[in-house]
Amino acid sequence: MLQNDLTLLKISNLSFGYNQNKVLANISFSITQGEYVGIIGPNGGGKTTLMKLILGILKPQEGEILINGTKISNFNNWRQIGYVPQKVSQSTISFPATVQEIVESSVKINKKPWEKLTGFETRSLEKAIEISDIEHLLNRQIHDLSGGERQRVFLARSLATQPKILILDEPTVGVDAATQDKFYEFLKHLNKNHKITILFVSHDLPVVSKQTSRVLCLNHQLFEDQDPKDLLHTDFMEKVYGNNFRFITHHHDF
Amino acid sequence: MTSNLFEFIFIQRAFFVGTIIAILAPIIGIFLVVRRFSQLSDTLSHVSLVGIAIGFLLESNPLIYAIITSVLASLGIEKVRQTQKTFNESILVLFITGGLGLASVLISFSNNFGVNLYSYLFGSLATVTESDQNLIVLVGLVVVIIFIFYFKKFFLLSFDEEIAQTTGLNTKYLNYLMMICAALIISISIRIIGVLLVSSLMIIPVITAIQLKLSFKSTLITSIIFSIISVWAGLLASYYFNLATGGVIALINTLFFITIFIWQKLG
Repeated sequence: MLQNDLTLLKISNLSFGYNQNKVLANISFSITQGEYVGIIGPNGGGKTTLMKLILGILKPQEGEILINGTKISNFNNWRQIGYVPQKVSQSTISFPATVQEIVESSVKINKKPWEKLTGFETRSLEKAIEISDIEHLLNRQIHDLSGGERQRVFLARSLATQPKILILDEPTVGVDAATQDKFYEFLKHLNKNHKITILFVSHDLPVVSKQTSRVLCLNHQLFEDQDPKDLLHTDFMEKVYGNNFRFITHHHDF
Repeated sequence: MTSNLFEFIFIQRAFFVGTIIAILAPIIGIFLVVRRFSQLSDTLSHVSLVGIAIGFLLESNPLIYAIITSVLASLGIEKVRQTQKTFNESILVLFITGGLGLASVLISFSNNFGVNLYSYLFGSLATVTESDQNLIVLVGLVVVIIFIFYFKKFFLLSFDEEIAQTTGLNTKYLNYLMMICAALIISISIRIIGVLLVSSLMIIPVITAIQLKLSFKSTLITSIIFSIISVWAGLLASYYFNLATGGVIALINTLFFITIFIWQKLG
């Protein structure tokens, strides 16, 4: 795949393993500005490992990751990458901080004690709070929020630095179906109206199929760069998830 | 009565040093509490006893050796914590028992240590010397400067280490730095509060303040206020009623916690 000026993320021949266990083998793909990409695959297939490699938490053992044309080992403008984690950590559950403190932490993190936010940073912060619809939550403690509210706070925290790409690792785990729908609609709005490139991991195939413009199917290797419309076919899913894959459909009555 | 009290140099020194420690202890304590690593304060204070014993054996300032052993233990704990994540908090048991074992062996070599042991275990205002004071001020100043510059980074690291990593922070280095700061504060606190009761100044004011459901900064400031009140009251009680300073401080902090707990439940 050729890299053009709009390529935000380029992964070439990436491999990674824990001890003797190869988790990712020879992964290559690119993401261009404005794309809305979903990553699907079975548990243990390497989705979260791939996220961690892109976020710089893990270091590639083979291959290369380029962010905005810069090799990840030399990349230092992490404000361009927004991240919403899979689930809250143990400490987050009882952390004595307000929503405002959590959201502000993204823009204040590298400030000297005497440095104030610039006008641009203040506006970015206010905009992130506004579009995430969390103004009314700012003085609440983070651990008093519901799962859906907490995810919006994490999203606002990520958006406050005006990232070029937003990476989400199963962002709606433990959140009810109605809140999930709202959350994904909001992501679509960010992608469409605010031109933010989105990469997210999910187990929810109908959601990925409905929301994204492109799907990467991962099970240790990258199976196929798939059009979301073609995703919900048993033949293809068997290739990714194995022969026991079955679609079971049911209706929701709300 | 109070004017008479402050005529004594050792009282002035005890209040000065006590106030410094009362401010410093919750600053590191809040990070230990939110990271679910509260037992670290007990562990490092017990390991400091090894340094104190070495100091007595070598007839040198025990506080210096307490600082050294505490910092070395903190680095060891962090190294094991980072490389063997399955151990988690249980690794502290290894250090606390190993430290106490070594300290008790060293104490048995010393003839005159027993006389001073009580003051190191439970704290004493009369034992703070001028060289202790200078060392505590110097170490305290270093820790305060580190915290002023690293407060936001420690905040994010404690909130969620994975998120901290994604902002480009060197979390490995920050974890070591935080552990060293904890070791420094714990070892210098021993003079006033004692080995056995360090946690009462470092942890209890913080968990008392957390009950009030304030912002992170307000929780920290409130815990420092509780801590200062308890130290001043402890020093006064120690002087007027000849009670162990550390014991009174621990009791007052426990009382604060229980009062706010009941008040919250009734409210």
